[in-house]
This record gives sequence, C-alpha cells and structure tokens, in this order.
Amino acid sequence: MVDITLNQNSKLGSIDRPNSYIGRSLTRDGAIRHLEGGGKFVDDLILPRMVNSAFLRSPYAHAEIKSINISDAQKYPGVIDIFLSEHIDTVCKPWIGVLSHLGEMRSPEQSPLAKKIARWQGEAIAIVIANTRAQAEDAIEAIEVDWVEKEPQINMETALDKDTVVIHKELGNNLFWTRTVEQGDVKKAFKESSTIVEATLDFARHTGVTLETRGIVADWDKSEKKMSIYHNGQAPHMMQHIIAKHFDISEGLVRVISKDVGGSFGIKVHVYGDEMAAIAASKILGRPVKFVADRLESFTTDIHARCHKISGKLGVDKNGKFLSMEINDLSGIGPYSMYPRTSAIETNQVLNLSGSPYIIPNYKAVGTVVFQNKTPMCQYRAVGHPIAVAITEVLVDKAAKKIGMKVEDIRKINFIPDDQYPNKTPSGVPLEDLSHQATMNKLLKIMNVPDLEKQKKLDLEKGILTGIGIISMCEVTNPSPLFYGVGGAHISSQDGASIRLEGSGAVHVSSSITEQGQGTEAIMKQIAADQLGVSMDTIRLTLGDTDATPYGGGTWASRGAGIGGEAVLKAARTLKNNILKIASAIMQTDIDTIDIANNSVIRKNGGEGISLKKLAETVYYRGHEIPQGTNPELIATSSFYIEGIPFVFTNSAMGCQVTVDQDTGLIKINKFWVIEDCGTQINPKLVEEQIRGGVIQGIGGALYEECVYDDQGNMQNATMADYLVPMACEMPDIIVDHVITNSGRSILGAKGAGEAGTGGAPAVIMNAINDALSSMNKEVTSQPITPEKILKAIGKI
Amino acid sequence: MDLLQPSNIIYVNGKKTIISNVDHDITVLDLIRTNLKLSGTKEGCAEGDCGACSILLHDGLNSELKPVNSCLVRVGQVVGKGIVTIEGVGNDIAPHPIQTAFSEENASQCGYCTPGFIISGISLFNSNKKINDDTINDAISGNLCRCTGYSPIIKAIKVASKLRKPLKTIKFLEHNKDIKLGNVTYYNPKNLEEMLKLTAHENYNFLAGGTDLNLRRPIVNEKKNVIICLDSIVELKINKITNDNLIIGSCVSIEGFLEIVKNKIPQLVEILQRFGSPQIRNQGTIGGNISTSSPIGDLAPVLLALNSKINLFGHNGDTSVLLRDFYLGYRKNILKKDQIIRSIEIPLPNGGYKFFCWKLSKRYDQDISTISLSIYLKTKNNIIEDIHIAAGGVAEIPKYLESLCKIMTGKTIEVSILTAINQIDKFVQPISDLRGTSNYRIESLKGLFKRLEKCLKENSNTMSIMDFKDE
Repeated sequence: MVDITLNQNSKLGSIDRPNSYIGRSLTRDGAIRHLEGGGKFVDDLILPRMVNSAFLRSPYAHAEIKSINISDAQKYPGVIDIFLSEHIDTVCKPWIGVLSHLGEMRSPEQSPLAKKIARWQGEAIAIVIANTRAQAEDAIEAIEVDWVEKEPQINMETALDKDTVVIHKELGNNLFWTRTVEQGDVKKAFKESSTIVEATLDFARHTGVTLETRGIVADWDKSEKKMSIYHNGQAPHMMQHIIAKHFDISEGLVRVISKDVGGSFGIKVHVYGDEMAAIAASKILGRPVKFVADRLESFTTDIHARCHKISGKLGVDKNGKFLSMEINDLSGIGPYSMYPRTSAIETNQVLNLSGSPYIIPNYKAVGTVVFQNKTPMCQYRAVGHPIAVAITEVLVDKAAKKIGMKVEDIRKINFIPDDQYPNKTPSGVPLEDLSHQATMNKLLKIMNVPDLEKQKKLDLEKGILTGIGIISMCEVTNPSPLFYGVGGAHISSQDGASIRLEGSGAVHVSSSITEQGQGTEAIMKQIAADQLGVSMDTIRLTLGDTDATPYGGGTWASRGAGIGGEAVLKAARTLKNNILKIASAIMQTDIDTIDIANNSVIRKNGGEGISLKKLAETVYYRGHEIPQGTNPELIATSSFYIEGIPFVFTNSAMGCQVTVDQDTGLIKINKFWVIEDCGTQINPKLVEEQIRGGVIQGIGGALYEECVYDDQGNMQNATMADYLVPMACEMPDIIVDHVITNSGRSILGAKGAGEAGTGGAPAVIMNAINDALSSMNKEVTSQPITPEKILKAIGKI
Repeated sequence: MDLLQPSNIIYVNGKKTIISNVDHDITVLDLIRTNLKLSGTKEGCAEGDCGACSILLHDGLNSELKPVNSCLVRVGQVVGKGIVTIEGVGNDIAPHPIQTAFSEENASQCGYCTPGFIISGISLFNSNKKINDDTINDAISGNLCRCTGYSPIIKAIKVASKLRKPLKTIKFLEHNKDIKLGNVTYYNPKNLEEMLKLTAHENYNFLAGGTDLNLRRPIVNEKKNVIICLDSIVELKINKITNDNLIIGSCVSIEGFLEIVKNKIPQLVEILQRFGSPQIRNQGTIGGNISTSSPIGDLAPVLLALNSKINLFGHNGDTSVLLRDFYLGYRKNILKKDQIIRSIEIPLPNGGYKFFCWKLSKRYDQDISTISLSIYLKTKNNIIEDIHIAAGGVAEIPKYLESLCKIMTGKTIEVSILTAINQIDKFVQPISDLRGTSNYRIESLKGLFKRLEKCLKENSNTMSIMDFKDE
C-alpha cells in the first residue's frame, strides 16, 4: 500500500482505521485491461447485422446545394442506402442550441444533415450506409452535388460589419449572443487610478484531439421499440434524454452505453449531427449502424475551442491596489451554437472568471459571440479559463512592472485573503473555501524565486533570454443546477449512486459518473470501500450504462469526484447503516456498539462479529432467522447536487521558467510548478496525473496547437502531421504540490482537479516568455506562441 | 482461393496464420483489427503520426523486433514475416513486466494509446540499445498520449527496464516470394537481376519502405497490378565503410543508417533521431527518402553538404550522379521508370573539417522541418578555407547552396558569416506555408548562421538545436 500523503478531512473518519482508502494513491486495477489491449472502445464493437457508415461532407465553408444525385452511388458495391436531410428529418426532430438564463441567444434550428446550405467545411450532407466503411467511402465519390459557392464569413472581427455576409439571413446579422457584466463604477475608478495598464490578447482556435475519435453504434430494435446506443460520450443519461426527445422514443426505451472512452476533454459531451444521423439511419433501417470518425473528420467536425480576442484594462492606485478592471472579449463560434450546452459558455466563463483571485471593486466585462463559417466551437477542457486567466495575469504583471513592484507582491496585496470567504469574484459570482495566499506562498517557496532571478540575470549577461512567470487562478468545478439547468437545458447537475451487498458478500456500486481515463472507477471504489468498511477487492463497479446506473450528469466540468463521489459516499453510509441495523438485530446488540471493518460487522469492544458474507446469506437465503420487522434492505441509493452556489471553485498557483532563443525563436520550458487546492484528494496520484496531463494540454494551446484556416474557410492543417500536439519531448519537469481547503458543500470535501492545468498553463507561459523578452522591452500577445511570433515580437521579422 | 496459396502466411504473435480473402490494398492495421479480430491495436490517425497502431515486425531469423506503424504497412509487405501485437505481449495471468509497471505507475489513463506505448517500450527491451532517458524518450517519440502528460509512461518504462525482459520470438524461414492479393501481386526479388526481369510487366510500381507511398489510397490503380518490393534485394542492403567513404544500400532503413553512422558521423545522430519516429525510421529507407524528393526531407541537406553521390540502377545498368544533380523540381527527380537508387556514397567528414546539421521545426520530435541547414567546413587561422552548405525548406528542392559557399570561402569567420547573413536572401527563395513564412525561414536561417559563428568561436563540434540554454 502506498503511503498516505494527506491528512484527510475529519468528516471522513480517522486515517489509521482499517479500510481507510480515501487519500491513498492506490493503483487503478481497471487499467490492466488496457495494458493487454483489452479495452472496449466503440470501434471494437461488432454487432450482428451491423452496417457501417460514412458521410459526404461539405468541401466548402459556405455553399448552396442546388441538387444532389445519389442514384449512381446507390449502385456501388456494398451500399445499403444513402440518406439525405429529407430522409433523416422524418425520424429526428431538429434542435436549437440556446439557454434562457443568460440573456438572448440566437441560433437557428439544426438538423443532423445540412439542408440547402452548407455552413462549414466538414458539415455532413449525406450519410452512406454500406457493409464496410471503405465501401461507403467509395460510394461517396459517386454522389453528384451541384454546389454553388457562397462568400464565407470567416473573420470574427468583421462579423458584425455592415457589408459582411450574414450566415443566417433570418437573424439579420451574425451576432449569436452578447452579455455585459458590471459591478461598481468602472469609469470613476479608472479616473481615480494612478496607473492604468492595457493589453489585447489573441487565442487561436484549437481542439481536443482525443486519441480515439468520436464514435457511435446505434441499434434500433423494432420488435421492442428500443434504441440501444454504444457511444464514446461523457454523459450517457443526457444522450438518453436527448435521443428519446428527438427521436420520439420513450426515454425508458433508450439505452446508452459508454464503456471505454479514449479521451474526451469536453469534446464528447455535445450533440453532433453526424451521430444523430447514424441513429436516424438505424431507426430507418432497423439495423445496427456504426459511425466512427476518421482523423480528418475529427479535426473538421469535433468542436473547436478558444478563438478569442480579448482586450483588458486594469487600474491600480499608487500602492498597487487594484481599483478597476475592464475587459472586452470577442469570440467566433462557427455557424451554429452547439446543443445542448450552447457555444456561449466559454465567453460567459471569461466574463465570470477574469480577475477572480483578486479584490477588484469595480469591474466591467463585455462579451460578444459571433457566427463564422468555420467548425462549431464549444466547451473544451478548461472552458474560458485560459483566456480569463491570461488577460488577468498579463495585466497584473504589467501593472506590477509599471509601478515597480515585484509581480508576487502585487498579487499578495490584492488577493482575496484566505480567511475572508465566502466572497465574490469581481464579476459577482460567489466564492468559498479558497486559498490564493497559501498556494502562492507555497509556490514561491518551492520555486525559489530569488535563485531563479539570479540565474536570469546571469543568463542575460551571456545573451540568453530566460524568464520567470507566476499566476494565480480559480477553476470552475462541480457546477450546481444554477449552471445549465436554470437556463432550460436538460443537463443534470445531480449524480446518483447505488450500492448493494450481494449474496457472496461482494459489494456492487453503480454511479452515473463515467470513466474516460481520469480514474473514476478507482476513486468510486475507494470511496465506497472506505465508507462501508470493506476491502477494495470486494467492490465491483458499473458505470456508463443508462439501464444499469442511477440517473445523473456524467463526467464534465471536473465534477466526477466532488458530486458523483459524494453520492457514492452517501449511498455507502446509508447501506452501512442498513447493515448495522440488521446486524444489531441478529447480534442482539445496540447499533452503537458495532461497526463494519474488513468485510465484517465487528463489536467495537471486541468479541465475535459477523462477516458481511454471512449477514448477506442470512438476509437473502435465511430471512426467517432475523427478528421480524427488521428492514432487509441491503441496497441504498443516493443523489447529490451542489446547493446554494453556482460552482465549487478551486484555486491554484503556477510558475514556470522558460528560455527563448533570439536567433530561431525556439522556446524551451525549463521547469513548471503547480500548487493546487482541490480539497480532499481521494487518490493523490490520480490528482497529480490530472494536473500534469492538464498542464501538457495547456502547453499545447500556449505553444503549438492551432486550427489554421485560409480566407475561404478551409482548414489547412487537419492532420496530426500538421496540427501539433505536445509529445514526450515537450513535457517539462512539472513539480506538483498541494494546499488543502475542503469544500464545505459536501461531506467528502472534494472539489475538481481536471482542468486547472489546461486553464493556467497558457497564462503562466505567456508571463514567463514576456518576462524573458522584458529586457528588450518586447512582448508576445498571441497564442500559440510560435518561434515565428517570437522573432516578430523582437523585431526580426 | 487464397487458401491454395501457401505463401500467404503471417506469423501472428508466434502463431502461423494463413491470410485469406484479403484485398491487396488493406493495411496491416486493417488486417489485424478486421480480419484477425485482434482489437488491441488502435487506429488514431491512419498516417503514422500517433503510434496507436504500433506493432512489432520480425523476420524469423533473430530476436530483433522492429516497431512499425501498422497503418503504414501493406499486408503484402508482411507476408512471410512475423508480427507481434499487444495481444502477444502478455496478459493479466502472465503480464510482461512493462504491463505491470504501466499499471503501477498509472501510465495508462484512457487506454487508447497504451498498446502502442507498450509496443514501443518492448522494442527497446528487444534491441541492443542501452536504456537511459535518451533512449526511452527516443523509443516513445512516435507515440502520442493526450491524457497523461507522458511522465508516468517514461517512469513505467524505466521501472520495467530494470528487468529488461525481451519478448521471445519464434524462428521461422521466410517464404515471401510472390504474394497474390486480389488482382495485385507483390514480388520480392532477391537480387537486382530478378528485379530487372520483373520490370517486363506492363504495370508495376516499386515499393521500398512505403511510409510515403502507403499513405496513398489506393496504392496502385487497377491497371498497375504488380508491386515490386525492394526490401529483399541483397544489393540494396549493403553497407561498406572505407577510410573516406560510406556506401549504403538504398534499402537500408533510416534506423539502420542511424546505427551505421552514429559512430562515424556523430553529428548526424540528433537529426536522424528527430527523423519521424522509430516506427517510421524502421520502415522508411534512405533510398525512399531521397526518391520522394521532398524539399523538406530531413536527409537530403545532410547528404548534399557532404557531397554525396547516388548510384542508380536500371535497364541501362549502373550510373552515378552527384546528389545535387538528382533533383529536378518539386518532388521530381531524374529517375526513369525502370530505375531505382542502388546506393548512396557518402564521403566521411574529414578530420580537419567540422560538420553541423540543424533541423528547425515547431515541435522537437515527429515534426516536419521548417528549415534545415547542414554545413561542412574547414577553417584555418580564423579563415574559412572550404565550406559546403545545403538547406531544406528554402526552395522547391533540397538545395546545395553553391554560390553561397563561394562567397563565404576565403574570408574570416566573422566576415564570411556576416556576408552570408546579409546576402542569404539572394540564395534561397523559401515559400510561406503552415510551418513558417518566407520571412521566418530567412530570419531563422540567419539565426542558424549566428549559431555557426558561436560554435566556431567556441570551437565546439556539435550543438543541439535546443541547446540555446547553457546546461
């Protein structure tokens, strides 16, 4: 057993009792399947009578479909049928990606396949069903489409100009949504500021690049009128609900199964037209239909993210106290808002989160979200965070440098003090249980900033540009019903867990949270075994099957541990109570005198206990031996959602040291530090993996990843050879450490840990690079920060 | 039908397997997943960039297991050979130590990339390489993981390397002569004479490693029904080292080339290790890389700067040209239809010379170069006496910069390099594309010349591209 690395929260019981698993870095036994190639991914599934599919997709960013002729293609070998929008729409109702609680959002109806106009390169036009994917692809070549190209609307900055092409005529212009947040009197506060700094930052589009592409097998069983969906998604119950609604099937007759999922990162929590078309095809044909995207489809149809231009202004007084902050964010989301989460949330997070670690009494944020003829944009890991954190932390550094303060000192005097929670973000969102001061202090200590500064000076004397960056940030985790539900979206913020003792003494747990590699299985087992008092190997777990798990939201927004984990905890405690009641009746003793440990009910003062196996056997097979009137329920189900606040925030502080080469523009991250406060850590090793993996994705966004488009809306780099994600050599030494402030919203006290790395790394890297360039009085403002942008910044290009 | 062809045998995880009902055009990945129903090997990109489909290839003669991307190998190329997939590595009852280590170190999150990483790790254990940070990093440089951030994977391989348990391979005799798959026959001539006879077929294509050709769909059209694999031709596998020359057969793999030159020309190690990935380097050949005539091929500038010679072979027998005269234009060269590259003659760097090769790309590993620059030079008393420069990514062909060499010769190092920097745009005409604008390419070339100056002044013989920070 791995050492306990944390002292747990007292609500969980002492750490030296038997079966104390919460807080221990146990090995994930679920991983062994993958190590022998035994993972069950969607493309590994072969059902009897199953057919494959491929899509004809728009080669243009914006084009009218004058006519489509499928008659030749239908004769191709192996082709079973070809469906266009008119066919698919007979079984699938359209959807609209808007929410009602954030002001007016305007997005038109969407159907699985484009009707008369294709609005992004890659939009699905026709689905070809054939025996094999290769046959379907061959037939696509034979579909004749009479295209009339239309001028595309590509640039988000000119999207609202008068003479710009309007993508949806009925909307009058290309505006999807706009929101203004205002607290205090910004104008007045800027007037009172002794120093004002400004910045404008650009964030390119990038995407998730899950190693397993999106995939679905839809199996419509005519005889039972039941739709079974094998889907590599994050939220099976959400999909169940949506499929029932749009295909007019009773929800009880839709089963969504999500087994192994090869990475998700938010990419796989949305409704995609091609997947809905595959479901429709199955319903029409009465056969299982498989669709698995190839890598090109993945790049051009998986949601993209970021794509922001943000300007910000920070006013400080002569002591460096923040008085006023103003930001103006523009984002382009493609031609439609995604369903059901909408494509407004990234911008909304930017408005909510900018400035969030600090006291800034006057705050104004304006967000504008516009349509473009590009791949739809939506929520991807660390939604909005990289933008909010970067604009804040870049401005904070600028202010410090302008008034001659150390970057750490200006942060320290402006943090919301750790002892002053509950509190609010500058935008007015409630905050509680955070620790910016403690995390920053710990960060500065392990970074040894004076040493780094010394080294930087020595490097500079040799002409080497070394820089140091630090940041503080808040991360949105564990959203409450006030996030989506309040806006009318059927996205559950509740999660459920069920736990039962079986006849053999084994314990079965099921949860509505799903596994995509984070370690959900491991932590759910740890919580259940810990709270029930049984050994890990007695626990069997079912996830990702709407027929077999309680209802719930699934895995997104770093909510699995905090919400799903709490549901398991509550269910385990209820079951424990049930067991103890039965045991006290059998053992003829007071319930307070007994407990469960090591798979047995034990007498606290010693003496003979009863094994859970024996207890279960008695209840299930020899109930007559139990005193009459005893409740025999060896099963318990619990639910949990966050009450009273919109999110449980976490916070972290990060630092990094970089070196920039003036000759080639190459950038090297020498070292990276993260201090994370995610409350109770159920499995510290898994937390660290989440942080490290998140940082690497953040490095991707900061330095490498970009969906490059030409001015006609053609994606230029839709291959893994051209769209660069970090590989092993891009991984710096990442030091991870923790501060622990448990969430008061649950017994477990866990917050989320999945997104901080991705949210914070871009900002800290930008600050470090700009620190390196500061001796030349230069800066970079656009991500990804490529070698070319470095040479541009220092005036060589 | 195919059952009647005893030649279509592949040893899959040590088991003799008859391959039937296979179209000529499918990849080994398709064969493994669809025909053999071994679903552990994954498709991530189908173009050799992610490593999820990695398998091990062996020829039955020794225990060497070469990792390749099964998405880039045609079935016709592995008939008569052995392949090891993840299912052949170990299982929960008898796990290989690397599997145990991956489990204990949390080196697998979503699990999709995991089989590929394990295959890459095993290939290191089965090689004769030392195991250290460098070789581990190199071994996994063709594998992409989006979840873990790599450090647990590296740690797991390190832990498992303490036992360094190689995978056992079976011995078998090769019988991959003529392989018929659908309408297409893969011929495996054993020597050049046999090869020449095969060119009597009306429609044929040569196939070396296939890392470039196999990306095409279909690889041969219906009429071209003969593929002449060059892999078994003995004359193309030679390597001769004389005092001042290295003669390498064109079908030596890039990885094989790396092994041969690493002691003779150590300056090439970094650029060759950054050439694709181990999977690509084990499959791709030097002759293939030169034949594709890509303006950004990593090998060409190196060979050009050393003034290498190309020996060609075809109906008209043997001919030789200097590599600098081989390229005609963008992906065009002087090869005639019946001609192949037989070998490459590389003059070994002379003791009095220094040799620098730099590849500049956005990502360190597995990335296509923005520019690359190779410089072979001799200085005496601070004067550049002789210099040979070649660059990639600066024109439509890999370019030997003869005029630049001329103006740099006979001057002091400082003047010579300043001249090069000031006049570089007269000699190169890079285009703007995804990897960099024309301006960036020119400016970064200048930057590399500055680096050259630094190296010469500090009298260093080599400098890593990432070595701009003093370690």
